[in-house]
Amino acid sequence: MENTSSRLVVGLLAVLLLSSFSVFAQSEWKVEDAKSKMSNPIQADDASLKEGKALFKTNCITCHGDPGKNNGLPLVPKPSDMANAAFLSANSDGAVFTKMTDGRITMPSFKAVLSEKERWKIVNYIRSFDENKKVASTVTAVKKEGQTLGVPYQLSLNYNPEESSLVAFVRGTLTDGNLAPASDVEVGFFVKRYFGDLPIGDRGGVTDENGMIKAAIPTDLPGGEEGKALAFAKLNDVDTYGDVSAKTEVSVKAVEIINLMDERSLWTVSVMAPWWLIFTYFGILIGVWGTLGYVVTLLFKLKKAGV
Amino acid sequence: MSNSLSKEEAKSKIDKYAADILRPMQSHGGLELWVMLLALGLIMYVFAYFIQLRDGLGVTAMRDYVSWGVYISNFVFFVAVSLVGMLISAVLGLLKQDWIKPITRVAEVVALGFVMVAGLVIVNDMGRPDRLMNVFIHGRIQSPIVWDITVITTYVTISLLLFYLPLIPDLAFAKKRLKNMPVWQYHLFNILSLGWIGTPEQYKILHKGIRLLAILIIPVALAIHTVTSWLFAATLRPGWDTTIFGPYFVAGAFVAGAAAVVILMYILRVNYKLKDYFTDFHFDKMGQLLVLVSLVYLYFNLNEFLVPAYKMKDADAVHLHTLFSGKYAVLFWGVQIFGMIIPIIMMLFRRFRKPAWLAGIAVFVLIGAWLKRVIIVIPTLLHPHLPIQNVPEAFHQYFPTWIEVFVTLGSFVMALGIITALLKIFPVIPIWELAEEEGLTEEFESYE
Repeated sequence: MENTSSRLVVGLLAVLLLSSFSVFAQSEWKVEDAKSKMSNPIQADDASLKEGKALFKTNCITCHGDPGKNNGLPLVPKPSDMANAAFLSANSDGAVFTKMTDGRITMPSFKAVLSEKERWKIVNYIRSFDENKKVASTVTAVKKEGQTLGVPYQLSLNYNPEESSLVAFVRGTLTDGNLAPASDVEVGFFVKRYFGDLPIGDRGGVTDENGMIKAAIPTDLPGGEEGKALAFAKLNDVDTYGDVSAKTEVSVKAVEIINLMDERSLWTVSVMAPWWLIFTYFGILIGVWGTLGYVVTLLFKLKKAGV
Repeated sequence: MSNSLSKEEAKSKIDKYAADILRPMQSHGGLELWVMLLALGLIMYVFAYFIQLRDGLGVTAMRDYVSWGVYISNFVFFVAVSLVGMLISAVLGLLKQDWIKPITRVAEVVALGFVMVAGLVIVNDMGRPDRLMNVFIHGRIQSPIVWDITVITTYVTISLLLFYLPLIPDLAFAKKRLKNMPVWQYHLFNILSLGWIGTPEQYKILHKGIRLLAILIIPVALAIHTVTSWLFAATLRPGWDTTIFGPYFVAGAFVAGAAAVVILMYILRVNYKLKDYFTDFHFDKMGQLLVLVSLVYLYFNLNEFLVPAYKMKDADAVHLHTLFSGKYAVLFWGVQIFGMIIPIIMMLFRRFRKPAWLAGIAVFVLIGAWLKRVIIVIPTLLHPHLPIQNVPEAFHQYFPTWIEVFVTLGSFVMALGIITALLKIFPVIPIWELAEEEGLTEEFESYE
C-alpha cells in the first residue's frame, strides 16, 4: 500500500516537473534590463581569455559542448551552443553573467562555485566567439615573421622522475617546413588504467609561449607490483591539430597484487576450497560410505553364517 | 515358539501371512491396464523429451527470469516425498513404534521410487545433458549443487540397502512357499536371499545391519533435503533468503511423504486385499502422524510468511504481495487452505482418519504439496534483483508448455513404475517382522 502510494506521488511529481519544464522551455529566459546592462569589468586580454577558456572547459563544457560544434547535452531545455550567433546577439555580457550567476531549471547557479571575476572571464571567452564583437584573437597558431604555423603538429613528452611530472612540448610546422613551438594548444594528460584513461593535470590547460605544458603525476596511483604506469598526452582539438599523441612509462605507487584465486576460498576451484570445507565434506563422505561398506561386509557374514 | 499359541495355531497364522501377503505377487488383477497406462505415459514422455533434446530448452516456458520452472519444483517434490522412508523406517522404528512394522516396506518403496527418479528430473532440466559428467569432473565442493548430488546418491544407496536388508528373510520364505514361481524370480530370490536359513546368528547380523542403516539414514535424509533447500536459501532472493528453509523443507517433506504412503496403503489395502494388515488402526495412526507433521509444517509456514509480512521489506513486499493478493494468490491460498488447513482440521477428528477418508484427504495434501513447490520456486524468479531493460513480455510470466507437462508426468510414470515393479516382485509387508513380533520366528523359518 505504502509503496503504491509513494510511487504514485513520485509519478505525479515527475509529470508536474516535466510539464513545468516544457512550459519554461517555451518561455524565453529574460534577464532584467539593469542586470543585462552590466558591463564586463575584466579586460578581454590574452590572459583573461586563457583563464576563461580553462574555466569553461572545467565548468561549462559538459553540458554546453564545444563552442561552435553544437554538441551539448540533449537536455530540456537544451543548453545553447555558446558560439551560436543568435545566442550571442540576443544576450549581452551582463545577461550571460546573470544567467551564469542565477541559473534556471537545468542550468545550475554558479554563484557559489565561481567567483565574480571567474564568471566575467568566462563571459570574455564566450564573447570571443561573437563575430560582431571580436575582442581579441584566440587563434592558437603563433605567427612568426609572416609565416603561419600549421599541420603537422608534433608532441614530445618528457618525464621528470624527481618531481614526478610530465612536460609536453608541442611544435607545429611553419610554412617553410621548419618546426616551431606552438602556444595555446590544449593538451590533455592521462594515465592508463584498467577500465579507461584517468585524466591528470589541469583540465583545459594550454601550452605556454614556448610550446610547453607541465602536468603533475599523482604519486599515490596504484601501479602494480612494479609501480609502473603508462602515461600519455594528446592534443585535444583533433580537428585543428590532427591526432597527435605521445606516451611514456612513469613511476607510481607499487602495490602488492592480491590474486583472489590464489588463496583458499569459496569461489576458487575445488582443490583450493577452504580446509574446513574439505575436511567436512570428505569426513562426512568417508564416515557415511565407510559405514555403508561395513553394512555390505555384514551381508557377506550373513551368507557365511547360513552355510 | 510362542507361549500363548499352540503349535497348530502358530502354523495357521504363518500360513495366513503367507497366503495373504504372497498371493498378490501372483494374482495380477487390473495390472495389465495399469501397466499399459504407464507405458502410454512413458511414450508421451519419450516423445516430449525427444523434442526438448532436439530443439533445446527453448521449447519449455523457461526464460531468462524463470530459469527454474516445474522441473525443479518437481525435483524438490520428489526429494521431499522420498524422505518418508527415513521418517517411517528409521525414526518411528528406532522409537519402537511397533505398529509401523507392516508399513515400513511400503514407505521404503515410495522412498526408492521417488529418489531414484529425482536425479533424472534434474537431468531433464538440463539443456545439455551430455555434459552431465562435467559436474563430477569439474564440480566444486563449495557449491551446494555438488553436495546435493552427493547426498542424493548416498540416500539412494542407503534406501536400497534399507529396502533390501529387511527383505532377505522374506525372500527365503517366499522362495520356499511360492509355487509356480517364474524361473527368473526363483533365481533372483535365491541369489538375493544370500542363503538365509534363519539361524540366530543370521538374525543377529541382520538386526545389526538394519539398525546401523536406520541410524545412518536420519542425518543423511535430513542432509538431502536441507541441502536441497540450500540451493535456494544460499541466494539473496526474496522468498528464498531465509534461515528456516532447511527445517521448513524437511517438515514439508514429511507431509508429502506421509500423504503418499497413506495413499499407497489404501490402494494396497483394496487392490491387494490387505485389510488385515493395513487396518483401521494403522490408518488412524498414520492419520495422527500426518496431522502431526502437517501442524509442524503449518508452524513453519506461519514463520516463513508472517514474519517477513510483518516487516514488509521492499523486495519481500513485492514477493509477498504476489502471493497474498497478486498473480499467485489463488494458487497460494488454494494450497494453504485445501492442502493444509482444512486437511489438518479434518484429520484432528477420528472419523476422518478412517481409511477411505484419510486416503482422500491425503490426495489433497499431496497435490497441495506439489503445488507448494511451484509457489516456492517460481514467483521468486519472476522478480529478479537486477531487472533486464526492455525485457520481452514473455520473461514476466511463466506457464509450463505441454512438453514440460509431459516430461513432468513422465517422471511420475517412472516413479510409479518402479513402485509397481517392486510391489509386484517382492512381498509388500515384512512377514518375518510380523512373525517376530508375535514370537513366531521358529514357525516362520521351519517350513519344508
